[in-house]
Amino acid sequence: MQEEKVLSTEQTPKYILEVKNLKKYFPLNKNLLGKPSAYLKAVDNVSFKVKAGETIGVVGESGCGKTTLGRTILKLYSSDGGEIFFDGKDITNLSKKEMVKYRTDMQLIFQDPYSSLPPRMTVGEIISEAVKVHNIVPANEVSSHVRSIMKKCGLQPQYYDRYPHEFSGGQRQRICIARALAVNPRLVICDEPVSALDVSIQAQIINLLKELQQNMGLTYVFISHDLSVVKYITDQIMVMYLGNVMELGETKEIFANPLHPYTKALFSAVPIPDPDAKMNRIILQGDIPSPANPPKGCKFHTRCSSCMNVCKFKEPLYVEAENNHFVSCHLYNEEVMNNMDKYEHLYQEYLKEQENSENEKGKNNEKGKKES
Amino acid sequence: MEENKEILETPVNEETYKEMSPIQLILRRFFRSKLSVVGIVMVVGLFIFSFLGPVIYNKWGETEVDKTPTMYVEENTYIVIDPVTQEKVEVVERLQLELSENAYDDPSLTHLLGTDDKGMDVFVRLMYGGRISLTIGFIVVILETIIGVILGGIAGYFGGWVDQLIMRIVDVFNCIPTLPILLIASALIDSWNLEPSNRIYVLMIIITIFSWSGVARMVRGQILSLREQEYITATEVMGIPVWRKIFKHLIPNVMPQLIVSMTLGLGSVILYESTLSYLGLGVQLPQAAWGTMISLANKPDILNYHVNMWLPAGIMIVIAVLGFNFIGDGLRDAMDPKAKK
Amino acid sequence: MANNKNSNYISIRDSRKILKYNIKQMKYYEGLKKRKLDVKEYTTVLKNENNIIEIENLKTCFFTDNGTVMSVNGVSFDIPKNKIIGVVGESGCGKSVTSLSIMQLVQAPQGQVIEGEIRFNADSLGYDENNQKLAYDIAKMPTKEMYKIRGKDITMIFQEPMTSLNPVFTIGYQLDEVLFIHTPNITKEAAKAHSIEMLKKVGISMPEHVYKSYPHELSGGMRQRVMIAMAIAGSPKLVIADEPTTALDVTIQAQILELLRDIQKKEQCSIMLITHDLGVIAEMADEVVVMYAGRVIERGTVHEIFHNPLHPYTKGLQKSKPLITSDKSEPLYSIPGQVPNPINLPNTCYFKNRCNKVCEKCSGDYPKTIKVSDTHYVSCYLYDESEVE
Repeated sequence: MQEEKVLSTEQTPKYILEVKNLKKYFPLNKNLLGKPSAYLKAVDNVSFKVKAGETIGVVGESGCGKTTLGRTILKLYSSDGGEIFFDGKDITNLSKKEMVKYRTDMQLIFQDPYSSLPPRMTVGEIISEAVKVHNIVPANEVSSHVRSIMKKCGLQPQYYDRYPHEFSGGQRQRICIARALAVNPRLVICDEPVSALDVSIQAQIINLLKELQQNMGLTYVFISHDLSVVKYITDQIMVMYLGNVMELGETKEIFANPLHPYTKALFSAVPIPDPDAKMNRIILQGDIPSPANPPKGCKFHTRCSSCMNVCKFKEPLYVEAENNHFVSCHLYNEEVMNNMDKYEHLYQEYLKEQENSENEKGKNNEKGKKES
Repeated sequence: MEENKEILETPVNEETYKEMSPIQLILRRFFRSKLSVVGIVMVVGLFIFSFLGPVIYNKWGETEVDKTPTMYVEENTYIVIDPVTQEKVEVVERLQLELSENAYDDPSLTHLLGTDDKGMDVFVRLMYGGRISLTIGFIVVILETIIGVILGGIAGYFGGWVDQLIMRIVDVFNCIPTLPILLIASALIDSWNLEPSNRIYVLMIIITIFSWSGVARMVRGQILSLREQEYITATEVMGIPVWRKIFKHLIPNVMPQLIVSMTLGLGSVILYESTLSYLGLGVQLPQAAWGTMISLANKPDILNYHVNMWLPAGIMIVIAVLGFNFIGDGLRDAMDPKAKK
Repeated sequence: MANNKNSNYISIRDSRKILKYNIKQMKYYEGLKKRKLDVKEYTTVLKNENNIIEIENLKTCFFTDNGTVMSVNGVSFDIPKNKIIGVVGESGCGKSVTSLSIMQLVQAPQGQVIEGEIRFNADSLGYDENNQKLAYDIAKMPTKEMYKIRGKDITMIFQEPMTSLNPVFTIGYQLDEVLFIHTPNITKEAAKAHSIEMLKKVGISMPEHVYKSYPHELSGGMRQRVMIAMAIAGSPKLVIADEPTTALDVTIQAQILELLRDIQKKEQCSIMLITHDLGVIAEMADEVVVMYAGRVIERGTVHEIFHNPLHPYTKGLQKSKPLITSDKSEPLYSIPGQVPNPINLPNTCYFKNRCNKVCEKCSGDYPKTIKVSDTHYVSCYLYDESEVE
């Protein structure tokens, strides 16, 4: 596999999270015996690594698999291939029991602050529950530990005995953050933590997340569709489209020099709050294809402005185009670009094949009709 | 930032009106509806009447027969054709019977609601009947809830083939025609020659067997929808053990719906019991039950001339069922404000 | 906190009182709506002929169990012809309720327009004796009359393209329906032709195919296009777009915004664009209305609002959103605190508690609207009339 060459295989503990060729397929159209006839490739061959104390942003549109990726890393879903290393240890095939050790190290912050808090528990109970279960601090210190976490998250101490329904969205998101941080995690997966909030509250939460990262040395996997927020908070960005990584690189680098046509279009589509801003907007045509039935070849070719014939049948490789800047696009694959003629030839062959198979199908259909 | 924090500390925009626990909120919403207060009054009154009543008003026992001999006048009217005039003539036959017990008595100070055909005090029997109805109601509802929660919970939580199996059993129980089966069961019980007091327990078990399936189905549905909630996913992320997840997170969140279904269930169980008693399948004489008391109305002269024997029992059933339904509806509205109106 | 804990509850007696008051109020306002009115009673005079809608001192409230919520509390602004007006604000600021008030779609009986005028410039009315243009007052208009305007002259695009189309009818059926209602004596064929024309207009590549399909067969972006087609089917004068792109992805949002701009130019209509995204506003709107807690706190042209924001809230809102174009990494500016509880708001500036420029004057009455320029208005004590001159 080309990917393995690209990624260094040595285990350096400075990477707190390393994901290699992670796959998560959901079965579709189960037949009578429960055997699926097709798969929805929600996460397909995703690889990245994060250093401790850094933030990686995962961006993409709906259905690109960013939420599934987050949950597969947390092993809420079992993976269908690939490996996950946490702090240098392989956690891919750990059983639920073995995973309990790592539960306190990896936490999740949800998008919807309304459905992610149990309605019949007080704030104190919510935050202290996992602390008690995992014996994070001695039993007599639980309350003071929780209160100090609440203070860090900007919650007033008298909120301890209140119920979630008394709070607004922003406050609830603070409670969620406090709950996640109470077990002293090292990695926090933030699944769209601010997209359900108002702009002025968003800024509060973003600042809080940044502040907590500095104070507690946290590592974030920041999943979001809001590019301006991602740009502000992350060190690395991974752009996903229909389960595949399109581009991965350092935030500054990727914004200054986006390589993949999708990344370019995505960045240019963000409205800028300045009426005089001149925009060379690339408006993508068409809709996002259904992830259950993605296009062949490069998944983005149906909407791509620089689509070549080779894109229509050959999946692009994930290559390091520049230092630490990975992209999966034929435009940056020298081998493809230098052998255009060969691929053009292959494309013609592919077309013929397609035609033949379609003809056969047509014939079969006709036959079927005649017989019936 | 410093500035921001300072403002945060001062509770300026305190949403002061909302400082209540969910249970307090539910209770408040519950008591705001007049109908549910009426329901509470009805049910509490019923409890006092049937459980404290016999203690205070202990003039007569449940099966005690008033042995004072009385004269009972029975009037029979016949229409006869006069052999002479060939006209129809009404002949009234008045029989003065001397009864060894004070039966068929009209309401008076000695018997507040009169006596029945065996000379037992109707008012006292009403109170004892209430005891039976309420006890059966509560025990059956608790039993069916326990079975329903366990089976429904297992089906909802584990899913897969366990779910399939349990839900198919529920389906089977749902399509059994209850009344015919009960009639057969009752005939069977008759053949066992049980003591009247033991018969009640058998009755409870039978009603339970036929009513747990609804609860199981509801609990399963609730747990399925709860599992989709993000706070249940959060417990998974937190590594919280399964038993804690079930007892601390799932069950408490099913409770509201459960309580509503239990209160509504109480009413229907009482109705069930009365129906069975009326048909002679439930509580047997001489033990008092509202259903058996109503069944006295089978005799035309009791139906016509001794309304005091059966009507009070009917009213009690109406009060009990209405009261529980009011409370159940009030609770449902209070627990789910969205379902209002 | 502990000693006055009891005073924080609404006692059962109080809540009964609220309930009684609400029922009385709702009956009163519902009664007002059912009266038979002469046309004269709900026609007024427009201030400026070039406005399509003039809203003046609009007050819409909701009678809830916890008390009366003033969702819209004295809002005034105009929507000129052939312009895009952007309305921004956070959730609960009353931007959607304002638009629903214009449509007379506020959820009755809890929600009622209790004061103010919404003047709608209808060509059919003509001029009065003083040669002033007549207008309908939507706030007083009976519901029956409103049916003639709603869906034809004023239409609406909703946020959720997934739920705003009826799933059991085809797209074509739903489009034709609009035409049947508002165009008398239209034949089936003509309606179909017109509907397909509309679908073409909103950039749907296979209109005949889409005409026959059901909503679930289309993607979110396509459905929003269909909603737009529906909205412009009766050549409206005003299209209210309530967060039309919030539920969509960025790349689809770009498509829809482009389409809306196109449509506005081609159809010569005004658009009232409601959103919380300042970026969308900057890109689309000609004039901007900033709302906070049921009041307009600032309005002006898009350049005035973005280059010379005056109200501290407008400034804070702009500073608190990270920019995709900037590389700064210092903490974001954030407006502290939360939106105030909308029940029983005191008659002071609602933003006072979150404002970083509070002064003594702010504890006084709610600040008056101050005219900064012909188009720029602000309600804040920082800007005295004298100062501005």
